[in-house]
Amino acid sequence: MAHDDYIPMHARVAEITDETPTEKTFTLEFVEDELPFRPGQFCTISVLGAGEAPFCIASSPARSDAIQVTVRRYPQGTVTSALHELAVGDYVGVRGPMGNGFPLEEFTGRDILVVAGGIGLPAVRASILYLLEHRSAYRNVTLLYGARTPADRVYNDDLAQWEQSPEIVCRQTVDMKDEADDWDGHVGLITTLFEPLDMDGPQTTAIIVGPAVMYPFVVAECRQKGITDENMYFSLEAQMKCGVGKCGHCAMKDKYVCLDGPVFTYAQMREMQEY
Amino acid sequence: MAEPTAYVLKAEDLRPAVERLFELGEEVIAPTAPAPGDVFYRPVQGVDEIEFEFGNALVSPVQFLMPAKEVLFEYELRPGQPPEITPPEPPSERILFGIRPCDIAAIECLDQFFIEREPVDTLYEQRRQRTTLIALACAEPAADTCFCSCCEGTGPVAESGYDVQLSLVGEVYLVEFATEKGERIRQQWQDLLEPATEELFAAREAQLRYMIENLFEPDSNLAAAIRRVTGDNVDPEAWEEIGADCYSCGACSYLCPVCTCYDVMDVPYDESRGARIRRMDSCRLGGFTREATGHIARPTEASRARWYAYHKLSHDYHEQRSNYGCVGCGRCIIACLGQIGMPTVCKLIRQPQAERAS
Ligand SMILES: Cc1cc2nc3c(=O)[nH]c(=O)nc-3n(C[C@H](O)[C@H](O)[C@H](O)COP(=O)(O)OP(=O)(O)OC[C@H]3O[C@@H](n4cnc5c(N)ncnc54)[C@H](O)[C@@H]3O)c2cc1C
Ligand code: SF4
Ligand code: FES
Repeated sequence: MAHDDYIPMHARVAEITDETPTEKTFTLEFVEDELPFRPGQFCTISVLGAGEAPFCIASSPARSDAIQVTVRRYPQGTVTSALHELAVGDYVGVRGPMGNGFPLEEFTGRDILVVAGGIGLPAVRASILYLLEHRSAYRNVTLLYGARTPADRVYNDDLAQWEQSPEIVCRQTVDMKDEADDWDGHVGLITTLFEPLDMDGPQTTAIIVGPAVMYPFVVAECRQKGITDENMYFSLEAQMKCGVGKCGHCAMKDKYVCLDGPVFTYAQMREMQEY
Repeated sequence: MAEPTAYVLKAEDLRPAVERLFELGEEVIAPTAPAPGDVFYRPVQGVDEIEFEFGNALVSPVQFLMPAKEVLFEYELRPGQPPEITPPEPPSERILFGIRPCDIAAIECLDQFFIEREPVDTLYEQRRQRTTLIALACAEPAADTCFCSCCEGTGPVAESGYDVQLSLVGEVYLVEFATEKGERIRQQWQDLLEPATEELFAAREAQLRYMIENLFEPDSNLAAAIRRVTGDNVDPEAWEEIGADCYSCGACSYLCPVCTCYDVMDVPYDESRGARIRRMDSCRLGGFTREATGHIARPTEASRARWYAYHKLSHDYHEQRSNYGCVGCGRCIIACLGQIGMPTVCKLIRQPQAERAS
């Protein structure tokens, strides 16, 4: 990143998509700069006066003059609420790219299993788009996506497209549904999507993002399928204030999640967890 | 740091020498004692404001390199246009006079953390580059809470990190000039200086040995605690014991000259203008690791006590700071509402399980 670490780049809100009642996707066009990034990297978004918070870059790395982020609003969340109040044409500040990202170029020739729970899907969307853009370099690409209810699902257009695509196996589930829900898909926890999968475990690399409660169960399923801890990649969340390895908030064991992560293998996470 | 060049300054010439610092036209920051016993580093206009007979200040002079609160930029929102962002003015040149060796060692840690280790913290770097450090070695422990003698050479005489160091040996100061910034001061003091002799170095060494062997409380034994923390060989009960005496007030880390953690926030001045600031934070506070989901990575005093000890004492962090995260200044001993300053923490860490059980 540039030397003036704390000065954000200006970006204009070009489009806002309502994903769910609590999640919106913002398309941000840079006024002067570009932001080349790797899938799995993140940036911070500022609404001046409210503050700044980290978000995964959810768009394809093929474009660096504009990015997309999907933001879940927390009821009293200062920055996320301010972002949700924005209109097209407003300006935000962006710093980044930050973090290591998923080393997708190391996964060529392998099967890729992407597991996304809830708000984890934005964190892997850039990776899915990248994999599809470089499709011939990989073997099978599978996405498992679980949301709490049908109404909590994000990226409905993408998902509909991926479900039809021969390039990717896309399986979805919801934890629960109401009578009123117009959902004829699978109902059950995300782990129930593993059972019918025919996988070549040792040849598979898994990319897993979701709420922390999901991790032990997904790890157990992956191990069951023969995926090693070294081949399970996670993107971790932590409180972050600077994104440049100085404020200390995101430190875990001897790693700074913002600099050394947010992507870690499960083998690394086992070492870090207690701290 | 180049080999320091060494000179002798007569003790009675210290004041005149310091008086000349003001001729450089830079801000001079030095210890002052606004009330007896209260020592504060502050900008001073003349030598008369300076307190020469002092131990150390409770608030470390590192605050002039890493302030408790600082503006990252100011902004002005403009309708229909990107906001205007104004970075802070570059800092001016200044001299920090009378810094104790432990604080010099702390500044070396900050240099490593903020400058050597990418990405560079530009705000710190700019201030650091424009600051001249004149150290005042301790000829006796500055306070009965000092334990620099067991912190890898952080004191009571600085081994490195200073531009100029003055060590009182008998009736004279041994003056070491170590850098180009120091050389500037040497030229100013030229006619007050005589070349230092081998004997003077030997005398300081003898004085140092005497101090380390006789005048410091020897029992904090940081090295043994470092080995245990690095080897993950600490009785888990130790963290519970330390945690039980922690009030999560953060005072230890606020006063610690090596601690660097901060929070970032926006402070609006009015509807359209404001500043983004950073301000000192502490990993001893409960909310330090709270994620937006509400999950808190280190929710208990014990877990935070363990983290604090790990971050300061584990060899895993040594490289990022060029030293361990403790320089022996003893401020946490004074600040702690409980009884768990660093030497006590070390003692509890060293205590084997068997001993604790009995
Ligand atoms: C690497 C990374 C990537 C991320 N990517 C995304 C992403 O793509 N999309 C996304 O939506 N999010 C993402 N997040 C999470 C996002 O950064 C947070 O949602 C955001 O920081 C919240 O900011 P805020 O100012 O709105 O919330 P805050 O004001 O910090 O508050 C968050 C929540 O905590 C509560 N809270 C605040 N203060 C207190 C207090 N003192 N006591 C008790 N509760 C309190 C609030 O009520 C609120 O519910 C990511 C986080 C990281 C670290
Ligand atoms: S800890 Fe050592 S260097 Fe620091 S003030 Fe005390 S005696 Fe001096
Ligand atoms: S967010 Fe500040 S150190 Fe990682």
